[in-house]
Amino acid sequence: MPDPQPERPVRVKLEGIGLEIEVKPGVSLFEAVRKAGLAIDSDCAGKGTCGQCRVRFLEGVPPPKAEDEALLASQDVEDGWRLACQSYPTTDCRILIPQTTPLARRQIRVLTAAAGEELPPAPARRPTGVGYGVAIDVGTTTVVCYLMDLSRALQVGVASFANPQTAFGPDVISRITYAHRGSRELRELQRRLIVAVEKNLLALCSERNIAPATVSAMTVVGNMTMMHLFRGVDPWPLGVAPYEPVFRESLPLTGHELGFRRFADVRVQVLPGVAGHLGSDIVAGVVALDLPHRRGVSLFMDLGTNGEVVLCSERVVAGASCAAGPAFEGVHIHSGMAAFPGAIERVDEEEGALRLDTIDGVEPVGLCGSGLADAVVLLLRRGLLLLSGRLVAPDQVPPDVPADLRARVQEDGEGRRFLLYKDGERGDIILMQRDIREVQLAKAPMRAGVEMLLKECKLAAEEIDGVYVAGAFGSSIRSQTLLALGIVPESVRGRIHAVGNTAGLGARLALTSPKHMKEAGRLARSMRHVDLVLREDFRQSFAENIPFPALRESD
Amino acid sequence: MDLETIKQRVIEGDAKGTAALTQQALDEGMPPQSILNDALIPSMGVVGELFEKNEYFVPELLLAARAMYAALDLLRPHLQAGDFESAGKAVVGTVQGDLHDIGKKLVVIMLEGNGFEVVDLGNDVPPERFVEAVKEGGSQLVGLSALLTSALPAMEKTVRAIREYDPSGKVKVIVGGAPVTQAFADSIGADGFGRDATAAVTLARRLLGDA
Repeated sequence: MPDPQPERPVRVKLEGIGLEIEVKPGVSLFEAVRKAGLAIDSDCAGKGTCGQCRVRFLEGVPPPKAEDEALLASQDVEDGWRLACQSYPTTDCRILIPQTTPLARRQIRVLTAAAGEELPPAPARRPTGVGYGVAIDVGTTTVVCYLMDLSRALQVGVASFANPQTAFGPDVISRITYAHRGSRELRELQRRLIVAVEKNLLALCSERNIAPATVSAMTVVGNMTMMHLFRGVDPWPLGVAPYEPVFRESLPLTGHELGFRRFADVRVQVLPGVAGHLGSDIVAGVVALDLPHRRGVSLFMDLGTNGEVVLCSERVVAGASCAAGPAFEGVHIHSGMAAFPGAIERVDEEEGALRLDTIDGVEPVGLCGSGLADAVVLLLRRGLLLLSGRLVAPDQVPPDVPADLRARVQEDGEGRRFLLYKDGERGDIILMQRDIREVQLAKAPMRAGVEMLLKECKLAAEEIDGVYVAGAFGSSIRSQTLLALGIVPESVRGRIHAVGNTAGLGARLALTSPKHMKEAGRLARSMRHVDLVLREDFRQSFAENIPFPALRESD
Repeated sequence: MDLETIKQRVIEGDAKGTAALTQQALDEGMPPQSILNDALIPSMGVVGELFEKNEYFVPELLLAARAMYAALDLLRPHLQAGDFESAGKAVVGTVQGDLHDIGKKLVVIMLEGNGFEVVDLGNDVPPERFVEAVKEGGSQLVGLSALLTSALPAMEKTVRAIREYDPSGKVKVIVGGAPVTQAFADSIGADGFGRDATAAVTLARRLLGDA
């Protein structure tokens, strides 16, 4: 039976995001949230068959529908969980979206600076261009635009916003699948991105009193899928074996060809990628850090749903990409969430009690990647988690564990768990046994990727002189956590550096310096792509790295 | 030789110990079919239970499988037709376009460990290849795996190809993998969906029992 149609739009408060949206009669909650620029996870695009778009009503809970009963556990239905795509709110309500992706207008964690790596001093005598240029880092989740004064190689403004394609899927494979539905869908993904970039650039220009017509050049970096979608090229070959791109070289384009209106005459250079899923973001990162010219052996890592690793020595540069899964983005984690305000980002023990730090210091709402990693390490350290990844039972808690922690070790019919935060309103924040399994499945391929590169380059882990960890998660995770999880080998202790958004730095360098642009081209051609997926030794290494490494005293 | 000890060695994932004890049992004149039916197969049943209870995870399961296969290699030359009561014949593979096969490998291990005869077609398997394998081996069960969302259309195509070959629905098709849900399985007309390797065994038993 259809819901009785309300006369007027209702107000829906999105808890934990701090946003209120209006939902018109006859519009599903799923559509309304998407219109607001937020993405709710969904595999069936709102058809009510996949059960992914579950949201929890905290106030104004509607009666359950047949689809809710069919796809959600009865306890969850009782607790107010409903499918967003089947909800047509008729009264004002308050909801919690467990797994969503950031939206632009909200203050979110975005790295716009590369830590400790300032742009090289402006080449005062030889200006690289006139007017202004734009460097764009197109991330799967977040896009960052840098406005640069070309004559001084000086940054004059920066804007970051959620990739609007997120509404069509959180990860590259779901975007690839959507783009492949047809030319209309492919165009739609490209349009949304270009329109959002244009809008943000115009806002930047107007803030700085810069005429858009004085912007003459643009460099773009991104992973291979983003490179394809930016150019409007169907990335389907990246989604099916042998996972190779349609193009990887850098092609000069005009803004007009890409669909820019106010920046139609801008010369656009999408930086080159290597092969497979190793895109220009990785090339730009390695160029920005100048790794091939550093003495000794360096390991570059970009930790994300798709993790990339590059090993550089004076002899050889080799890179690999591996599907690490979205656990560290808070996806598929019981209390997981993106790095929004209220996400627990640090978990520590202080005088025998648990200490939780959240983003913006507000009341905890859920657990983001770095908090998740911290929690796992704390449990390992206290013997509450065995190296195999098995949580201990409440009656197996080691005797030296303080009472506060001891009381958090729980077990019921659903399995073992660790209680992080007890909260009446939004439910408990807990770490489930299966969350730990997800962490293991996300961290093992990263380490296996490192091992395969070492093997390919005939180097030993002990020979690595420096590890450079890029990306948002890489900057929020502590280096001892990377060691305790086993993502990097023990021998690199003391040599791990969080380097921030190196892709954006590389894009800016390529924009302002022909030398760096040339270097990106050279590196993209010379980097050896190590294909992991078919290697039997990768599979073996993956399995071997699922357990956690033995802890050191100092951990 | 105590069969219970062999069983324990498999559960512990001790391949060397399992092989040594199996050899000893054979030397002592223990019938190979009792080693298989009363030690190896029950041991993998226990491993499956531990996996389901989350006590065991992928590494423990792989180690137990290695121990089981070490013993099986020793038994094979001594086993004769009829020594082994097959739980059914199955064809398993990762669908076309997808090269990921750790999940599928776990399914093969658990099916074999529970007495199924399994043909593992590997990964990136085209629909026709599945149909051919069913034809050749007379399998009653086909297991399809996929890790990437982009491989789901190929899964659907494979189910269709099998139905075209066998419109009566005698051949049962089960599907699984990270992007697969019960709803998706229903929508492509699969006979069953399994969340993990142990669920695949339960499903296989039920479907073949029904047949």
